[in-house]
Amino acid sequence: MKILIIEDSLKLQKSLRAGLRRLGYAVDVAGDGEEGLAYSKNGDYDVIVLDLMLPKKSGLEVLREIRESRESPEVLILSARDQTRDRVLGLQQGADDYLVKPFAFDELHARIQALVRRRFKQKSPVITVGKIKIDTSLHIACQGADCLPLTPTEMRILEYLALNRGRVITSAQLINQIYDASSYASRNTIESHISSLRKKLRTQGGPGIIETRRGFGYLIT
Amino acid sequence: MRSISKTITISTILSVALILVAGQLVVDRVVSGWVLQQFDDALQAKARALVTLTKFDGNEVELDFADEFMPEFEASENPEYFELYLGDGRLLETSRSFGRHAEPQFSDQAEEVAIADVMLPDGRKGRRIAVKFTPQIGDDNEVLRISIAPQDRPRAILRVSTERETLDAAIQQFHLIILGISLVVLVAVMLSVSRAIKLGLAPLNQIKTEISQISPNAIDRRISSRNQPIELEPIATQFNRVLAEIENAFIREREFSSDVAHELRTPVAEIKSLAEVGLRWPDEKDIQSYFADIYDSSRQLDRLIENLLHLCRSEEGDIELELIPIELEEIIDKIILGVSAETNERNITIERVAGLMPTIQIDPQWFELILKNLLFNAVAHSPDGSVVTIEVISEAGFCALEIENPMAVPLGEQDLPMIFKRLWRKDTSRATGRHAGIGLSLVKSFADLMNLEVNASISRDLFHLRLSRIRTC
Repeated sequence: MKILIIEDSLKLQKSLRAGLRRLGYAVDVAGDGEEGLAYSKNGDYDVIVLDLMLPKKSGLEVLREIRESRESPEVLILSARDQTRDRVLGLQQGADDYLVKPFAFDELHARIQALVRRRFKQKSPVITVGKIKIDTSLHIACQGADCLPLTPTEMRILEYLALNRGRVITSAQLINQIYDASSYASRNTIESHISSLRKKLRTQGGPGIIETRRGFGYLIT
Repeated sequence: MRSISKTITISTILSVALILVAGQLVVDRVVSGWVLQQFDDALQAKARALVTLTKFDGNEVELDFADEFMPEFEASENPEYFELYLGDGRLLETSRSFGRHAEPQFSDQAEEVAIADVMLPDGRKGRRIAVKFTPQIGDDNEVLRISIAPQDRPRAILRVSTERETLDAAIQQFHLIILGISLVVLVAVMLSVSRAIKLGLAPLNQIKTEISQISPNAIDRRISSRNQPIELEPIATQFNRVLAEIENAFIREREFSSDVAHELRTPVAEIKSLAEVGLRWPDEKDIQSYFADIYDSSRQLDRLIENLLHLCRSEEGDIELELIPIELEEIIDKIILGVSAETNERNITIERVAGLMPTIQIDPQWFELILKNLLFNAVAHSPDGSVVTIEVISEAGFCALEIENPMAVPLGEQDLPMIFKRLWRKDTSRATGRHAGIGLSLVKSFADLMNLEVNASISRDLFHLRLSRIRTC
């Protein structure tokens, strides 16, 4: 899952980026409204964590422009403004959730997970593909009681393909989703991760759930 | 609770009732007196007629009375009575109406004419006139009239009585009519007054309704001042003016609270988030920088809270000033040293314009706070590598201190009135910098407290803050 944090506080940028990356998300960070808008237009983000009081362009302006664009990421407003009218305005302008600073990191994570589930129309955090159960909140994939020893990147690929079940996902889409803007990954890197993932799934006696559509991409049916 | 409507109604009705009662009493008295006077006059006229019929023929007094001319003295129903006595009390004649009743009783009198209420022989209430007179000598006896002087003639007393119950009944009826009219007038007045008050107070009730709709959530509402009566129009206008001031103060306070909340929440959020992530992943590669960041946010929070407390204390006047002589140069050196970390890091030079550095009479603690904030503000808002100038200008018995700095973010003339507002920032998003925008409001508040003047101005690209009226020794 790919998250964009638009927040001017360098310290919050630092802690949120580190924490969310540790939880398996690809995270990009923008320090002002204009930069955040540029990121959101160029990256395919699942969730945008948006501060309201931003330099250059306010959070509400950024939100308005995001909603006017074709992309429709889930937007969580993270603001020090705690008045009811601020929350109502934020939600009316198109935000999907509103969290007031100071916040508990776990709560922020839980809300991001809920927004991701909503984005992929999943009520439960657990996606079942054949005999494999993929828990998107714990970031584990298990067959019965045995959990697969997946790396964070492999887990992210599996989760993303499972959430987009029935759709062909290209290598470029996977690169965009799995890696943040500061990381470099090629198609070969993705192929390598997919290969490793398939091997681990088979080792555990799981079925070959990831199909390759040659010339197009990958698919979980 | 007092009510204008009730007060006006009751006092008006009471006044009208009082006037009516007084009027009724006067009219009653005048009319009753006049009627009684007419009654007495008629009685007296009747008595005079009988007196003229009373003659003295030289030997005796006679009443030449004929019943057919005055039948009332012999009527069986509602009769009238007369009695004629000689001066010594001898009864000469009575009306026939006495025949059915007891003999009249003589009583002498001093007055020539006396009128009194009596009980008639038939038991009815009556009115009696008693006339003391000297009987006439007949016109046909000229010799006798000449030979007997009036003082030698016998005196006689005539008493005529008639009933007064009819008169009393008429007066009573008159009383009732007057009372009835008064009551009708009173009821009419009550209705009219009530209606008039309702109409008169309608604009006041309208204002009451409009005021009841004003609340903290609807403080932008106003009383309609159009079509108000001339008495209420200035009240409505003044009320609206006060309401506008309250609304502005309310908005300022709300914004202040919101800004304070933001300024406090942001460093707390930073500290909390850094601490949570650091505790959860202690192997994070730059974990050491988390501690530095937490310390920095804590200092920011500490400074903000301290400044807010100073601001509260100064605005409440909860500061005691201790004026002592201090060297201005020493205090300026100390402040410059205090900002040296930032000036060195950002390559900012602080220049002192050469001049006399006087000894000043001031409270050193709060004056240092003012200077610290002035210089911190100048350094914070100057571009890296620039020069901040401090100049001391002597005035008669006073000195002024002017700090000048180039502006990293240009300010306009329109910003100057806002400079000293609490938590004001040029950047309305409040997103940039470590400064909450409270320093200059502290400067202003403490300057006011210490009777100093502080002014901001802009010339070319330079921002000037001038602190004047500093008393020198």
